[in-house]
Amino acid sequence: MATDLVHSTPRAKSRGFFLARQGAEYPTLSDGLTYLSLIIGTFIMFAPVLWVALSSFKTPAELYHLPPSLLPASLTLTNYTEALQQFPFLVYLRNSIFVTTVSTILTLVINSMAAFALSKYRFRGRNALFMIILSTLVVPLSVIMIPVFLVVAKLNLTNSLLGLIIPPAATPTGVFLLRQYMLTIPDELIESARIDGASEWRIYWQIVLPLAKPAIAVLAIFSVMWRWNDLLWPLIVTNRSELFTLQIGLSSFQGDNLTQWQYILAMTVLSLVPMTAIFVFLQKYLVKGIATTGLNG
Amino acid sequence: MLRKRHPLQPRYAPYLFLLPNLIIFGVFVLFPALYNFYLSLFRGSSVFSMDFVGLQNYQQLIYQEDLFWRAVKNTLVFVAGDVIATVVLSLAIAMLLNRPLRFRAFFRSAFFYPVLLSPVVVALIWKWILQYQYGALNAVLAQFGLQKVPWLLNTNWSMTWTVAINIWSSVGFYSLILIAGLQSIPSVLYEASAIDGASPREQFWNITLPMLMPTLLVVVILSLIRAFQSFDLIYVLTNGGPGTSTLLIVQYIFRNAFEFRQFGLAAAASFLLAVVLLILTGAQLYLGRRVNDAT
Repeated sequence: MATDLVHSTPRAKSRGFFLARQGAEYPTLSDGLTYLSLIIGTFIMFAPVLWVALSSFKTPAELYHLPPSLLPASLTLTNYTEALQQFPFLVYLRNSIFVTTVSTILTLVINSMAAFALSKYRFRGRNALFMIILSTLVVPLSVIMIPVFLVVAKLNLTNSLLGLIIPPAATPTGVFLLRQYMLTIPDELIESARIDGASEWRIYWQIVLPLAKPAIAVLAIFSVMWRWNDLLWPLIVTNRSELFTLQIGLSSFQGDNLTQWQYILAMTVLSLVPMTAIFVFLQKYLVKGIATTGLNG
Repeated sequence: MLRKRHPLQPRYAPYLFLLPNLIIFGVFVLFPALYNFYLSLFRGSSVFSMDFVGLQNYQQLIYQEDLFWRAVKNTLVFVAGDVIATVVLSLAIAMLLNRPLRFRAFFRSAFFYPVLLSPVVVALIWKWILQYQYGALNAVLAQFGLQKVPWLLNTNWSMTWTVAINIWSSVGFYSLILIAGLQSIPSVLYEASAIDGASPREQFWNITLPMLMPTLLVVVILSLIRAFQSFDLIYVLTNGGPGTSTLLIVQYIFRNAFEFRQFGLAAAASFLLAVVLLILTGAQLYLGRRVNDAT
């Protein structure tokens, strides 16, 4: 196979745009261009966020001044303190933290229970149930939002934090990820525990769960990210501002109202903090999750 | 996998472990998925007093709703631009990041950062940069003596920026998948072809691209499926405007359902979107299998 690939003639029209631009014949130039493109790319990725962070410390007079200054004249926190006074952002923040935490714990528990059953038991309907769970991947919220809203309304879960927490907790990707990992845990461990008289719950809780920690860590980080960043689901479930999450709170400032930008900037920066912390400290888990399972970011 | 049921293992145990997940899936995903089609056959401004109208909602969508077709057209433009640019850019970035470089880990994570940000935050960041009077981009243009452009308030630019910002926030995700694909190509192939005198360009077309095809296909289908469902980012960035220039299909559904209370019509549009997504997922499975068989 390798020789086939090597000896096949390149297509005449193959003006390898990418490699040609790199000046592939000259390694040093090509390395230089690689660095240059990567530095430009890095700038494009970070600069907008950095600009918003810098802007959030500027006074309104500085913000609405041309040409804009690069750095704020002084590091004032007025935008932050005033935004917290004028808008119920602390309430939004509290709701976001609560929903994200509880929903993630729930996700980890019920997804790992399901994954345990699907990977460590042989029972009637196992494959069918696994297929049903996987098939829910094909039904995103965006195509069933109307019936979901009606179900949530019928169950009296609209305008309640429970309505925000429970329905998205059963993620098919989570079950899939954990099941694949648990398949690698040796069955002998479980059988010997059973002979020693351990209950099924104890086998799950004290043997399988601790062994599945790496996969659970990956899912935990993804779940935090999904729940913290989610907009559509909270938008459908809540319309009372005391139940708003940070994302809805921020999105309600859609109007391009100049008098509010300093507050929007400050709150945008605050809501960036958790994701940036994950980026700095836990990135490798996310990268692993995406590279091995194609888990959605 | 256990060979057979262990004598000490209760028969009902696995079902109990599955129960919480299955209940939630059943109530909040499977039942709504079926209920959606049923709803699309009814009409009425309140969900509790709706009349059966057969396929009239579909008829209305197809023959009378200009806005529906507008949203379909916008969605197709958005999807095409998004998928093509995503594939080209994420491949270029993945190949750059796959080279042996100093600071490679840093560069890799740089492209990944926006992936973690919420669509709302991404929209607000760019709204501030593209702001007409005081935005950074127009300030830079003004420095060069150029005319300010109302980027997001101009129908010529709104869609372009919507696509560009969506790509900004997701290209790192797809690059990561492609880097994993690039690393799974055996380096023997490159070494052998180099001995035979193949140029890097020949190596790209004859080794990299064919060997990367399965992964590229994953990127195409994933980005297609995600682009068809785009909502959050645009909801905050342009809210479908100016006019209806960036109104996409999911927002059309959202508006009809939750603003105009036309649940039946919105459900019909949802059903059509679901069909498109199902076909795409089917294509992914089918093509994925064929590519796997071929290699």
